[in-house]
Amino acid sequence: MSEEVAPSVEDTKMPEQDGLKEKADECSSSPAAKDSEGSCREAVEAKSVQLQKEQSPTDKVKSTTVDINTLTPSTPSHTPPQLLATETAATAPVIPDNILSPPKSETQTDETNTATSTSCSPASDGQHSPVGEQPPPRPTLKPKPKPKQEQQEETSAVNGSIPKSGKPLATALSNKKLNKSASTSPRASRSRKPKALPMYESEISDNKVGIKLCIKKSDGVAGGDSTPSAASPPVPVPAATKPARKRVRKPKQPDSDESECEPRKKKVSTSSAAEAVEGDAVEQSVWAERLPAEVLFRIFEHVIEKDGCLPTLFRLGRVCSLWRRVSLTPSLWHTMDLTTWIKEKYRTELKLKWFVDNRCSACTELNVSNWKISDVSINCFLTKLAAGCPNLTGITLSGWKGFTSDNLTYLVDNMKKLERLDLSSINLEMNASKTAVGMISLCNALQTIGSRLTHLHLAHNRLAGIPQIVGVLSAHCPNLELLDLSNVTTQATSHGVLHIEKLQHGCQKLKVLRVTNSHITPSTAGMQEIMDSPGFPNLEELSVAATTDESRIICDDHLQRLLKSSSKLKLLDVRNCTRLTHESLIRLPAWDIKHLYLSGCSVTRDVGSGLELIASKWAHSLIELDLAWANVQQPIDNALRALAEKGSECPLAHLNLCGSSVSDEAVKEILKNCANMSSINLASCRGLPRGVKRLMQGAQQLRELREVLGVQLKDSRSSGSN
Amino acid sequence: MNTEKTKLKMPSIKLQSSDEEIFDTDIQIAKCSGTIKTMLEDCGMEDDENAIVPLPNVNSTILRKVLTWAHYHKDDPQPTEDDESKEKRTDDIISWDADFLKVDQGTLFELILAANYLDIKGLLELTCKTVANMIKGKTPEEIRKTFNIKKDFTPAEEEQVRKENEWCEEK
Repeated sequence: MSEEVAPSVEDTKMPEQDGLKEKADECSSSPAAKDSEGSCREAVEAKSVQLQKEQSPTDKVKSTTVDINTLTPSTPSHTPPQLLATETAATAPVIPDNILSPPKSETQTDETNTATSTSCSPASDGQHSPVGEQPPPRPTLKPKPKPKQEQQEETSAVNGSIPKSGKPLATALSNKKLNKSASTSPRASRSRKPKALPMYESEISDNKVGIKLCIKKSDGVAGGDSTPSAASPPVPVPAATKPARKRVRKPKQPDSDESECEPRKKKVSTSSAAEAVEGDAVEQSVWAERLPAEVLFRIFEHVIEKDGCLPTLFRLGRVCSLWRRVSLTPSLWHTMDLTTWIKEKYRTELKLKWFVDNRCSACTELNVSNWKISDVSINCFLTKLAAGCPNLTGITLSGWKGFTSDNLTYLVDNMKKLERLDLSSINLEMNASKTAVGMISLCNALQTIGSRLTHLHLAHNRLAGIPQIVGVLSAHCPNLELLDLSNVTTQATSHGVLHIEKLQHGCQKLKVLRVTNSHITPSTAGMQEIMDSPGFPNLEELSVAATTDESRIICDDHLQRLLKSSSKLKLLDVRNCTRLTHESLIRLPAWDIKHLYLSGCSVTRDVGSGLELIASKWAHSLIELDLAWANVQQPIDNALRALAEKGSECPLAHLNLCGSSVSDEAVKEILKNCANMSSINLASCRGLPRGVKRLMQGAQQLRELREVLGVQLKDSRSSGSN
Repeated sequence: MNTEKTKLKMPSIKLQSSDEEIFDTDIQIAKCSGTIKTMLEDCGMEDDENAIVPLPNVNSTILRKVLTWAHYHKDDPQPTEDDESKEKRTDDIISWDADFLKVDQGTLFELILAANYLDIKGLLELTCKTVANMIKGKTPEEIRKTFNIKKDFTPAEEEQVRKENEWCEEK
């Protein structure tokens, strides 16, 4: 234990010390890229050791460490604590993440019908993180596990407390859950729940623009109250980040060179490339020489279609001269996710301008979240964008804390095709009058975009005037498909009233609604108003999950009003909505719910709950079911049996029973009958024998689990699934 | 009208490959090639029983393959002129086509060139998808290896490539 802790301390510590020195120098440098992490860390550690020796006894070190943690809610620190905290549960905390993450893979399963289990997490992380709502769900989950951890192991305090206690203490202590949800989310949360949701999103909605970023920012924000913006983003990799900064400077110079040189190079390259080809013609492959450019272009189009623009075009451009020239065809560069695929330390103003100038002329989808652009340069960037990217339909600016209402006005006035706008994590530090997500600013912008608007992300913001914003949306934006108000805070309750019926009247095409973990209260409505509302007939995803603190808000009545006509609902996340009962859940008009998250609902806590009815209602469609911490054995067991009755037809792939009081008999039933299972979380299940209380993922582990429990899968075809 | 008459009168035309082999071909099949179609119509060769269409860019081996493919797909719905908006999918290759394209790289390359030259949209699409599938997920090095490509960058390109490589998140 102690050994483990020590390293983390060093890591966190180092950044601070370095950071202090460097802060003055650079406020906006970008955190280190993953690649450089390793080397940087080594260097950092070495330095830290020196520093420690020079400076102070270990005590001092420790104290600094704590501060550091608080300053930057670092992923490392957070996760480790959990791990350390509970022995049995030690795996559990980690597990939840994994468990949750599988959902993504599930989605994959959905789409492709292929087995998911094995490698879902890594791949899914990178790709799907985009979904904004993800963070919220995680938080919810976390809160619960933690309480338990605390209960189970008081001893964990030392290790576990460090991360929590730091400066954040005030916030952390008062509402650990919130904190975690908000701040932890960046990494830990991301990996946990977000994945599931993101994956799902990809299934239902076109826009893959990232909430990931939002999450990061939120982390930064949560931790970042005291720290400059630069500090917050690094959160994910605090240790690595700062060391990286030093190195960043050198690379930057090349940037400037590039921006100037690039155009020239291009011209040169074409002619010179041709020469080169001639010279080497003898040996060169026909694929690099005689293939007509237009054919190669078609091929590239196909490659991109599946693999996505960004990493692929860089790769193709590195093959040979001809391929490079073709890969630079502007129309191939339509979806530019510059946040996922550009290393963090290269996300500079110069680079961004270079991209806009050289690669974005046919861009329709641009993700530049969390690029560190100074307030002054935003204008310049927007001007370039307006001139250079006339076809832009979607832009993700999450984390642009300097984005003002003037910037937003300019953006919507000049980008005439804009349909999707992600303004997550813009103003967590709040300066109401200037920020782009101020009420007036937003309302004006939304009116300007009007019926073009299909996707609006406002997650992780402090918003005022939700009623007004919803009013504008319902009056001017009939094509809205996605509204993300996750992790939104408001100054007063009245600012956070969401008028359900008004939104339903105005935005009939809404497919995704996320108000996870937000200070948003559904409006009250008269009977007539409710009767007259058409509901959300196209809604596919609803997330109203809460941390336990907000859990009082959503009740049966609200859920029924929200979903009165949503027969297409595929995902419902109501975790920790303690006031929800089976009454509303059973009556939902949805035919085929695939992803259902119920942990923390009273459905999972009431002895007389209709969990079984719920399970059997959607046994034919459920792919993912979350019943974590359900503490009434009979209903759970019955629900699982209802699922198992579907036998091989049961599509269930991911089952979260973490911390529940499920019996081993019920688990066996599931394992015996459900051929599509690819992950099951049994961590901290009191009713189960030793040795199985953990997350089981993938064909191999499930096979082992079946062996341990002495059950066999009835359907032989399952073996082929993985 | 004109087309229908021709069809009744003379269902076949002669195609001559680059190595001077003659292929008697149903005219409707031959017309899946935009190039041949245009030639026939522009030159008024449709009514000429003995007209020979020279295809100097396609050898007999490839032309035979092309005609085999065209024969199998003769009843396919004609792709509309501009179906750019149509979603591009690379995983929808039917099994017959997949078998048809189990050929060596050289033949695949010649098929692409032929499809391109003859302007056979379906075949070009198919072959391009096939190549795309060979490229997917590969690193530049692996791609070069697959297609036996030599790095032939100019120093300027090399430099730019190196830089981009530096920024890019993955190898």
